[in-house]
Amino acid sequence: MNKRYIVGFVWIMAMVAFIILITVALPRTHSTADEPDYLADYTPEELRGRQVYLREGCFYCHSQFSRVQDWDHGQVARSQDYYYDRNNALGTERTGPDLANIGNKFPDDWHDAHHRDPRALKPGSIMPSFDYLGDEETSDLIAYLQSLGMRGNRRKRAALARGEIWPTDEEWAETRHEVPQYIHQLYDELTEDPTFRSIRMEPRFAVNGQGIYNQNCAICHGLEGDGRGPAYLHGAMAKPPANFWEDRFDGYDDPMWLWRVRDGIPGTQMPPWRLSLTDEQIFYVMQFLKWVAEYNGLGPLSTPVNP
Amino acid sequence: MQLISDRENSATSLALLTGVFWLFIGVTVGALLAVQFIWPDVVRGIPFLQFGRVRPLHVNILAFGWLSLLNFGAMFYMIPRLCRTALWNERLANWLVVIWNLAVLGALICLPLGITEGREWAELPWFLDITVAVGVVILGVIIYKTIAQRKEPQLYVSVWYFAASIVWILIIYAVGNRTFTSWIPGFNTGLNDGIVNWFYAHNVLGLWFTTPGVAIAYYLIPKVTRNPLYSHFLSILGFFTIAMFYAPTGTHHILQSPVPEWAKAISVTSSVMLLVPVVTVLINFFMTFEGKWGTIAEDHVARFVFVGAVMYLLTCFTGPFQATRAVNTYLHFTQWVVGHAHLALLGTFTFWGWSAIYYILPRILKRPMWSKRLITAHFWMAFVGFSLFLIGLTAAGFIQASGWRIGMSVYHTVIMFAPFQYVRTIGGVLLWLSAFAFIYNVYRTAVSAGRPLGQPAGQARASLEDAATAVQGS
Repeated sequence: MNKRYIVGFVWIMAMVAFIILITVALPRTHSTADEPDYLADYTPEELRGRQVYLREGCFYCHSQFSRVQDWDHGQVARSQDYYYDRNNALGTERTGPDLANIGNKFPDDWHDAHHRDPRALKPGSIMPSFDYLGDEETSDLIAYLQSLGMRGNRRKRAALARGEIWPTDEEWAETRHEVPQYIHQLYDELTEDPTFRSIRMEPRFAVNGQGIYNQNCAICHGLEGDGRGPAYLHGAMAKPPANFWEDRFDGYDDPMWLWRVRDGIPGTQMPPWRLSLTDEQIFYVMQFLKWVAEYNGLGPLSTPVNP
Repeated sequence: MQLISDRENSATSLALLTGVFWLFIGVTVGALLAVQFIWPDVVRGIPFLQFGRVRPLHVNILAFGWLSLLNFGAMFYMIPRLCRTALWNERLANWLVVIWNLAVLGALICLPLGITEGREWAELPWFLDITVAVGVVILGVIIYKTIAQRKEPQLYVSVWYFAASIVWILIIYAVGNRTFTSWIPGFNTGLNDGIVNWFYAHNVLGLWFTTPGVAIAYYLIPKVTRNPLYSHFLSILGFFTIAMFYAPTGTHHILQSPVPEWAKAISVTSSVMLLVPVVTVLINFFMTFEGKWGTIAEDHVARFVFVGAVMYLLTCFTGPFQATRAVNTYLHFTQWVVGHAHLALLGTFTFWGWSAIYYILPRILKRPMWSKRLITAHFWMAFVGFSLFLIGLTAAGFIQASGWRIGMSVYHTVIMFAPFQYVRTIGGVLLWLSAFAFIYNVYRTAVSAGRPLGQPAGQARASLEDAATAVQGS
C-alpha cells in the first residue's frame, strides 16, 4: 500500500483520538462534581421510578435543567444536582415542561390523576396517558418526580439530616410571591433618580398613568381596573385578569407593583411590560394602579382634578 | 442457500433492498408519532405504541436500518468500482447484511417492549450494541481488504470518506454506548453521561451519516453530470477539516447546562468551524454541476442528488449559527431543533440515498426502474411533504421560543403550536405516501423479471469494468 495513505490514516486517527481526549475524557477528570451536602441519594422506590421514567421515554419531551433565561422555572441547574444520576436524563426538547424543579410543586394525587388522564387536568395537553403503568409503577414514578429539584424530597431529607428547618407548603407559597432581590435593587436605583422619586400617588400623576393604562391595560383589566375588560368579557382570556378592587392589592408596595408590571405573570397572558414601556411609564401606571386599589375604582379621579 | 450468495453485487442488492424495507417501517413509525402530536389519545392503552417508546424506535430503525444499510450498499457498490477490483469476500458481505438486519429486527422488538438503555440515540440494549460493533468490524475488514487489493493506485475522495467513516463509527460507538464504557468509574454518571451521550449522538450523525452521504454525492454528481469533479484539492481539504471539526461539537446540545465552560467553548468553536468543510463540499458539488444544470430536469438521479445538496446547504448554514450561544439561548428545546435534525437526515441523506438507489439498482439488476412516473410522484410527494414538515416544525419552534421569551409556560406554547403540528402531520403523511411509492417501485423492479437477484459472475464483471472505466474517465 502506498505510504502516503498510511501516513494520512495515522494522522486522522491521531486527530480523532486527541479530540476524544479533550471532549470526552477531559471533562470527566476535570468536572466530576463533589458529593453535594444539600442533596440526599435516591431511595430504592425513587430509583425504580427513575427506571420507569427512562423506560417510558419521558426525557424525550421533558428536559431536566432550568436555565438562566427560563422565567420562573426555579433554581438554575448546578453540576452537583446530577451527582447521584447513573444515566443522564437532561433532555433536549421541551414539548412538555422542564421537570428539574417539579418535586413537591404538586401533590401526589395530582400527579396520579395527571398520569392517568392528562387532558382531564390540563385541557389541550398532548402528553400520552400512562394509565397502563399499574399502581405500583405509577407510585414509584411519582416518588421519583417528587424527589427532584429545589423543593424535592431529596433536598428535604438532606436538610432534615443536617438539622435544618424545612419550610411548610404555605411558607413556600409565600416565598413564591416574594419580590426578587434584583427588583429591590432596581427600585432603589430608580428612586435615587429625582425624576422617578417625584412620581407619587397624587391625582396629577395618577391621571398621567391612567392614559398609559387605558391604552395598554384596560383591554383586559377594564377601564376601572375591576378585571372586566372587553377581552375578558368576550371570552378571549384563559384566566380572568386581575381585579384591582380585591383587598390583596391594598397590601402591594411599590417594588411589588414594579415587579408584576415590569416582568409580567408567567403562565397567564400578562406580558412583561418592560419590553414595551419605559420604566418611567411603568412608574406612572403604578401610581394609577395604587389609586384604583385604594379607592376600589376611579374614586376622586372620576371628578375632574386640576393638576 | 440463496440468501448467503457469493455472486457479484448480491451484497449490494441485499443491503439496499432490506434498507428500503426499513425505510418504509421507519417512516410508518414516524407518521404514527406525528399523529400523536395532534391526537395524543389515538393509541391510548397500548403500551408499545406510546410516544416515549416509539420515538427511539423511529430513530433507531431509520439510523441503523435505513441509512446504515444504505451506506453498506453504497460502499459495496462504489468502492470496488472506484478501486477497479471485485468486492473482497462477497459471501461475508452478505453475512454482514444478514447480521445487521437481525440487529435492526432486535431493535424493532426490544424498544417497543421497553427494553432500552434510556439514553437518547444509544437506546439499544447490550446484546444489540455488541452485534452492531461486530458488524462494523466485519464491514471494516471487507472494505479495507477490498481497498488493499485495488488495481487503481489513486484513491478517489469517496473512498477516503467511506474508509474513514468505518473507523470513526467504531470508535464513537464504543465510547458512546454504556455497554462498552460502564466499567470506567464516573464515566456514565451525572453530567459526564450527558457529555458522552451527546458526543455519541452528534457524531453518529456527523461521522457515520454525513461522511458516507457526502461520499455518495461525490460519486454520483460527476457520474450524472458527466463532468469531472471541480476540485480534488477542495475535496481533500473538506475531508480533513470535517475530521478535525466534527467530533467535538456534541456538547452544543447541552449548552446551557452546567457542563464546564471550556467544553462548551470548544463545541461552539468547532461547530462554527464546520462551515469550512461544508463550503468546500458545496462549492465542489455545485461547480461540478456547472454547465449541466439541465440534468436536474432530465434525470431523476440528478434531481434527487441536487435537492439533497440544497438541503445540505440549508442544514449546514443554520447548524453552526444554532450552535452559537446567542442563538442557542433562544432556539434550544424548541421544535426548530427537531426540524433541523430532519433537514439533515431526511432532507439531505435520505434524498441522497434515494438517488443512490435509483442509480445503483437498475445497474446491478440490469433492468430499468419499473415506473418512471412513480419516481416523479415519489420525488414531488417527498419534496412537498418534507417542505410542509419543515415549515410546520420551524414555525412551531419560533412560537415556542418567542412564547418562552415573554414568560409563557410550556403548556401554553404547546396549545399555541397545535395548528403547525397539523401542517407537520400533513407533511408526514405525504412523506409516508412517497415512501410507499418508492418501496412499491423498488419491489416491482426487483421482482419484475421473475428471476433471482444477483448476476452470473462473468457478466457482472464485464459491466463492472465498464462502470469503473466510466467513473475514472469522468
